[in-house]
Amino acid sequence: MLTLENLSLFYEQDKKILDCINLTVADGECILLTGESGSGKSSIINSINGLAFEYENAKISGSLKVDNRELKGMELYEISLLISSVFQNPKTHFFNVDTTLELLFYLENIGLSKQEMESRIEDMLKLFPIKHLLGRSIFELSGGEKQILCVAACYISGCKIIVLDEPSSNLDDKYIDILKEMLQILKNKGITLIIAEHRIYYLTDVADRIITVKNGKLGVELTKTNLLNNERLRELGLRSATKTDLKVQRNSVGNDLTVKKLEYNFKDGSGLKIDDISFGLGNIYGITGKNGCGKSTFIRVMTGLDDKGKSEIIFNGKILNKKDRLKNSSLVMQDVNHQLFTDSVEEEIKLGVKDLSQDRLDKVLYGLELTEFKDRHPMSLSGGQKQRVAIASVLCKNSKFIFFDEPTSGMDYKNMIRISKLIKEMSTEDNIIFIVSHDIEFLNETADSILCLEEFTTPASKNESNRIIYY
Amino acid sequence: MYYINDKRLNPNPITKFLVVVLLGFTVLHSINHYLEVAVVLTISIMYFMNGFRREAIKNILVFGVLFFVPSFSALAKLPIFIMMMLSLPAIFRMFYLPFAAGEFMIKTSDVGSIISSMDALKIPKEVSIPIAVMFRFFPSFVEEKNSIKMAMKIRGIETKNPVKYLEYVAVPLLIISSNIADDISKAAETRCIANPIKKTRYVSVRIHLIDFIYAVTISVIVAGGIICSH
Amino acid sequence: MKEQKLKIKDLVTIGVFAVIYLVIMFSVGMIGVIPILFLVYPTILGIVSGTVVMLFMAKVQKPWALLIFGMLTPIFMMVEGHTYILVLHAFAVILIAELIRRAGNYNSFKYNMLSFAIFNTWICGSLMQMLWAREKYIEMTMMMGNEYVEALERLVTYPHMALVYLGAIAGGLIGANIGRILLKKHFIKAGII
Repeated sequence: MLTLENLSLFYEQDKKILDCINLTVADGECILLTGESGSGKSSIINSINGLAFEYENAKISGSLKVDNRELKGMELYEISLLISSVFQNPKTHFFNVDTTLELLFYLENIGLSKQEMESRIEDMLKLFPIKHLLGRSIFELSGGEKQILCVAACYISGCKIIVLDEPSSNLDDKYIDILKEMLQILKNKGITLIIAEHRIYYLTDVADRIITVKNGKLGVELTKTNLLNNERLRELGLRSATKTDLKVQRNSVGNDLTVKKLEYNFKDGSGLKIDDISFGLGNIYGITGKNGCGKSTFIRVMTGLDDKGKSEIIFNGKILNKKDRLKNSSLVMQDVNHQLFTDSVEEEIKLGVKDLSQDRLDKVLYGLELTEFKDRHPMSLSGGQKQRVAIASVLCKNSKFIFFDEPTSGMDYKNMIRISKLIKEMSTEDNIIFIVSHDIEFLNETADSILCLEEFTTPASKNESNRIIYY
Repeated sequence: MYYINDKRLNPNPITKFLVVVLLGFTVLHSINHYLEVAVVLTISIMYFMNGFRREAIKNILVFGVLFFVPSFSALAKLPIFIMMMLSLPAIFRMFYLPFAAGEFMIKTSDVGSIISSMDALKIPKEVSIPIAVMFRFFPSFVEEKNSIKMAMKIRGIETKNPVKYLEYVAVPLLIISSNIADDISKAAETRCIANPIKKTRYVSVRIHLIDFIYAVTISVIVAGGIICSH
Repeated sequence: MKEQKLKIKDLVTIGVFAVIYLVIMFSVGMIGVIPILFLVYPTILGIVSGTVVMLFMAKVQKPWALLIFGMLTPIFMMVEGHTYILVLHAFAVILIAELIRRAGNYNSFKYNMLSFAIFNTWICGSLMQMLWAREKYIEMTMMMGNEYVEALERLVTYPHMALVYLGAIAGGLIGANIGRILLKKHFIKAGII
């Protein structure tokens, strides 16, 4: 049993993140904590697994107990003997290069014998068919595969409690389904699950209790009838509680930009092959397709960043070579940290843009609510603010082709709607916007037309077909 | 064993490292040319036995080129400036034997066995953890660097000033690296890396016959070479 | 003194920064294609790597962090073919740097700057091993003519090596100050340290 009693969390004296949280979680129960970004749901998770004190210098009052053992004041490894953690971003949260060793890392650290390790792998493989992921380099795995490996590692550790911090935020539909299946299996095994998440549709069957978090306090418990009321969910900053279907039309409209030919071969033998698709000025196109079908490759080739692929792209009757494309394209990357270079927001927006008037600059800053941060260091801003800085620089560059790479990963409803509105405002009769995304709710809200890249992938190797049979 | 093969023909990393150190002596104390050839052939045979055919052949070819190039007497007639340039192969030639052994070690050892070897040698965690992290972080670093370069290209950042350029690359790279360092240590700590009890390793370090053969062959060649030249 | 012990977070930071340092070292090392530039290599390395090492020192203000960080590169270079002399030389130099840092209680810029300047001379070990292996080097280059060998013998001498060391220290001082400027301009402003 896990109990939180009057738990409060502070960063400095005055900055209260959590306020008097009282929560009792029975063994084998699945609790879903939900609420908008910054509500404090992740802070609850980080208090339970102890990371908040070690890594964010937070102070705590109240108590945190597992079966009457106080967690407060324990070393991180002592807490980790009782509780396993799954993180939001599987891309960086691992320690080993080899997948098998990553899976067994916890067991090595608690000093289990090799026989015991093998029998635990054996046992785990009966539950989760992930044999194909073992013995590989983690860097070859997709984000979804990494997250699956991480959940499997939690099971193998034998901990009775698992906490998960927005585990689905970087996953596509297929992997969210797999994640749901795995969580259901873990629950059936009697493992206590505590999940912080604002995308709740995949958890409504698994969770025993759905508790809202707002301004660092626990709010109402959501019942099944609440879940069907979308208005109510929006108020709480949540995504829909049911799976949404793509409603945007498939056939593309317009014929200003034509991709006559685009070919790219991947290392594993599969490839991307597009011929004769047209796009029109003034439109917003959503680019979808499952992980690894070549969405990022598509961006790299279209923007002219890639040297390897073959391509023939025509705009208004003229062939655009790579250099032309590079000059006319802008990109907002998934991890915006990669594209912030200077020491103030204003400098950042001016960078690389010739003859930008102060007037225009101020207008853009104002439109994106960045005026007050003009002199701040871009890296000191929050994730959403950084993204707006990147968008501001794109606006000032006045590009013909604007690309967004997964702009909403990890965003709650409010932020998603905000970015959707911004993108729609950016769209003019003089540009084409491409959004690579697997966020269907967001695409329904934003895109005029959808291009599914899966339809253009050439047959992959044997490996790929195996992967469909497994996870 | 699950998907990690126990290779009987592959010496363990400790043996390979010892050989590298041993061959380091040949930089300071010359050994006979024929013996040098013998060392290179030994390493190539080791590559070959472990299925690294391309590396085996490359090793011999590179040494062959380095061995013969400085012997052309025509080179002496070139102007001194060009000779300065050409002296690089001569320097590389000096260090070739330990370099080849080091390449062999890096190409044929998996990270798991290197970490297990450090445990077997009782290297304290203050040294072994940073080394393990280096293997883990290097591929991430390359990925991040490429992303930043991509971002600079599309932003049209072109500067002739190397200091400015350095600043543009360094700032995001160092900030992202700091974040990744935090993520890696969170992942490690929630998996009990700081647990003070005696740890076990899934990959074990064993001494096979091949370890003796490899170490003894190289020792005999180096010792013999140094004694003979005195 | 619990705070003074190196924690997992610090050890991971050491590993991460060691990779960055190693990459910088090898990219700057590209200038070694023209061997004469070996002599200014330590200076340039100091200027370029100053920011990284100063940021590292700001992040981990604990005993032995610099020594462990500093020794990882020479050990790696030994695997890449350099001799044990490089490692021993680096150990001696970096130990001095570590002690200077200790004298400044790990957080004084002045001491950290001096410490980095000394730290930066470890790379001179790669030239020292050439000096000590001179006979062999000359034998290798004999075919390139007497004139070349003589030029070389005149160039690689102890007094010249002293200049290289001085260059390394100067480069270290410049690098540390560039590091300080960038630290203030970016990392402190961004709240990273």
